[in-house]
Amino acid sequence: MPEPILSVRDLCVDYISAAGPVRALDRVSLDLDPGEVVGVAGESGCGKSTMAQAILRILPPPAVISGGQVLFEGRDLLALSEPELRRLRWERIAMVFQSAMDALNPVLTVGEQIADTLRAHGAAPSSSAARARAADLLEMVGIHRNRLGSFPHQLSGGMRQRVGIAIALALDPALIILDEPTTALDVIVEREILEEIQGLQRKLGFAVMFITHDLTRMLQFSNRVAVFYAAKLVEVAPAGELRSSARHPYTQGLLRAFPSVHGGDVELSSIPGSPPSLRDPPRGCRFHPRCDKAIDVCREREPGLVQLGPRHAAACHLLTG
Amino acid sequence: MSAPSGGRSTGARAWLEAIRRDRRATVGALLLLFFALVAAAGPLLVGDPTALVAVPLQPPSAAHWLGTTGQGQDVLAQTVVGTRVSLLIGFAVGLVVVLVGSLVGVAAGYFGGRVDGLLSLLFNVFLVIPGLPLAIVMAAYLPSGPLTVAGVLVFTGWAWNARVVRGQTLALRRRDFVAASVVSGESSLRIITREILPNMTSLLVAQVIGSSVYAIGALVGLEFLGLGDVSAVTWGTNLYWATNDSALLTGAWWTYVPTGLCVALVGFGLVMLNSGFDEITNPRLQMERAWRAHLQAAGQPASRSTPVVAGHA
Amino acid sequence: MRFILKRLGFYVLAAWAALTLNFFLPRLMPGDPATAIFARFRGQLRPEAMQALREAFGLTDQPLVAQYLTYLGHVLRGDFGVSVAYFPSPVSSIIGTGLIWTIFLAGTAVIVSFAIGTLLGVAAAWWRNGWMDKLLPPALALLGAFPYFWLAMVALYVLGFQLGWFPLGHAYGDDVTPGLNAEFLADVLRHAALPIGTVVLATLGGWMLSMRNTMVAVLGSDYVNLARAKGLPPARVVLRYAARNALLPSVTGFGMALGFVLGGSLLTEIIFSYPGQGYLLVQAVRSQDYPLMQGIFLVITLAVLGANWLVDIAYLWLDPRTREAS
Repeated sequence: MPEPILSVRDLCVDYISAAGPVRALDRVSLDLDPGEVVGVAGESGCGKSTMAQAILRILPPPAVISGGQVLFEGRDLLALSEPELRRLRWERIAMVFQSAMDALNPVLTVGEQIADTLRAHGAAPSSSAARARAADLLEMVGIHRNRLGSFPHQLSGGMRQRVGIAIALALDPALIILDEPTTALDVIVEREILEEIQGLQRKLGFAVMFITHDLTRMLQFSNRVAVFYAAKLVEVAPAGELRSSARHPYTQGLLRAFPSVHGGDVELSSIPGSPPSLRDPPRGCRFHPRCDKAIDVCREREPGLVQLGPRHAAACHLLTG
Repeated sequence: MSAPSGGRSTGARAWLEAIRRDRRATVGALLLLFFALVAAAGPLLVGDPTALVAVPLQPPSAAHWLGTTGQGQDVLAQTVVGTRVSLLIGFAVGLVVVLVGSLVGVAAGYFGGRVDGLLSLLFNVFLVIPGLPLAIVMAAYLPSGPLTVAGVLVFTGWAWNARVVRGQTLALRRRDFVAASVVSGESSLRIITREILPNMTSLLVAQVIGSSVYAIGALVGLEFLGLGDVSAVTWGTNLYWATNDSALLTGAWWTYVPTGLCVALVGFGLVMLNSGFDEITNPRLQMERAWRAHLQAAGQPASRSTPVVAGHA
Repeated sequence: MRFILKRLGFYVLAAWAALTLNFFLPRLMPGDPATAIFARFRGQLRPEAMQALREAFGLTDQPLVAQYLTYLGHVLRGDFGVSVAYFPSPVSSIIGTGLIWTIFLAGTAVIVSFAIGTLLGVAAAWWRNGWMDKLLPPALALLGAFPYFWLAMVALYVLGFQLGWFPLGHAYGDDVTPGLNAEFLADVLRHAALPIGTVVLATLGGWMLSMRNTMVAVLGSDYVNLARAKGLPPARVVLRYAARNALLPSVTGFGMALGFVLGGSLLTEIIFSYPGQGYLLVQAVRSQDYPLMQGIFLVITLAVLGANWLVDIAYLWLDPRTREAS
């Protein structure tokens, strides 16, 4: 069994406010193997983006990491100094932001924004070399190299997203985090881009953490899937196994809410109610108010993760004894 | 920003809270309170500012705390008496500027289309024409007096407020609760007075404060040039007479320094009050404050990257 | 390109508005403007002066529209009439001499103030809650609350009168010969130091605060976040990603503030007896030389409009998004 490339252990993130801290991530643990594609699913506000940004430690104030470890290639990212973090960022872990289209500097050309990454990490001996490599990267994501001198506003949304991917690939990282990479794009472009990423991943061999609320897409493109609910990890399993035998009531509800990959006349249904406020979460299992299978203990105690198979675990009282 | 319709997030109590909590606002409020007292009660305590009481151009002494002017009048009396008129006119102009500007701004922002185009053009033209030269020329033509000066200042100063209010109106108009009212057929006047304006209170208060700062400064400037009623006792005319009596060349600093200080302290007080209010209307600034306090308590410096503070909350 | 032309059109409109205002101002006076003005000068002016005054205002017996067109015709030819106080010198020649000094003074002051204030704002925003962010804004706000001319008075008294570090007025001394020689230029700079310094100090706070506020907003944007995540050196993040974008709203505000700062610098000129438009203006007001007053107002307005247009062109260069043919 290969060593995981990323090992998140009991990670806790709080948002500090005048009225007290709000826990956005509560003792979350997740492993990623080299070259693996792990999808992270859940409703808005469940903590998936928070975890992604916490790994790179780019969460803006008022966020504070209040516990746990993030082991990457053996080093705890939470213990690194600012210069060490700066070297590690992008060289080993890169990220494609949600709507990367807005994550591009309006006053610099896209070529410049790829090239300055290369120059900042000493990955190009001269500016012409940086520009040449930037052109190569653009072509790798399917953009013609003569777009090197274009400004972001001159490109379509889909192209800007591809630029975001090119930037992420620039330094050949071992892990790329995709934070809702296609939410703001239309369906056709979305599929193209995801297939593009899949092709690149197979060719270059980087690991991927794929964050999205679209479960269908995630099941198509991931090896394993982790499901988040209200700042906690509730289930994690290989994609196929999750689709066929999800064990957590929330995951089952989610699957029923998304169109099946294979079509067919499956009736869609949504989970009644809405996610709880993180400032004042329900006692015991956080999902119990919306769960139709809740039993007494669900209202009292938080369930721990129960191992259900070699790579399948879920946090539900119904699975124990 | 604020809650829709009936839920005004900034009532009078919130203002007072802000003054108490934010140091800058407290300083500002105290300064203004001081000058308000001087304006209200001061003239009763000092003598007649126009009386010739002593030898001209005397430096400050026990008899005359701020010395005497080039004509032998008591500088302290002049400064104190001048406070009342200067503050009154200044605030009045500030208020009227906001009234006029808001009227135009709301109309432009709410009705949009050609009305907006026309009104925007109007205030943009006013914004770009330099105000003080125009004010000087206008005041020179009109009969001198406080009404002229006030009128001229309103004429040259309303445009900025119109622009700001228009922007805010546009933003509010797009919000759901306004759209709902429009769809349900409420009259424009009702929507403007019941939904849009109440949600702008913090902005309007800030604008009144800002406009008053401008007004007091411009007022003093015009009077300094001799365009006000030079026989009246105001801060500006005090400075006019000081330069007329060659205060600069004779080194009689006490004839103009106190007035300048008063103008500056009032302006500064108003600006501080405004920045204090800014804290309560800008939730992001508040957020950061709690975060920094938390880090400080844990003995950790605020860093660029997300800080790690061990232990549970 | 269309952007520049559109803006030019706007400024032409504004200029026309100013001209029209100028036309109606004399007619604002209660009663018949002609007699009102002339009543003031009766006995003091020779008949030729009265006639010139009449013509300058277009105060003839013709209908209003005709007067207006005659007036416009005069202005477009650069004929602002004849001065009353300096009769028979035409207004345009009197203004001409002073214009350069005003542009030099106000222009330098505005540019210096904007540059320093913007840099301070960037620094204050980057080092949030540092001393620059906590102490400087209130201190500069206090400085800016003083009337410009008052600061000028104090500066003149302390630094000129008492300490003798700077000359007490005028643009250059009597002992230097005007010309493009080093001695003259150095003398001009010495004389300009206090006036420019006063205006800079008074306006610094405004630029700093607005830049700081914009920077704080920009520093929270996605592209700055990405720049940090990319591991770029902090200097590049601050300058090329944050400040470069925060500059745009500042430049927009720059144009508007120009007129305001110019007004203040006019008053400053008076204190220093600087031979610019402000000095001329106050003489005109004191002697009720209406043609001169109005001429100065027009010239100042046109200068400000022109400067605004130049700023718009600069904005075009700064923001790639405006360069598209819409």
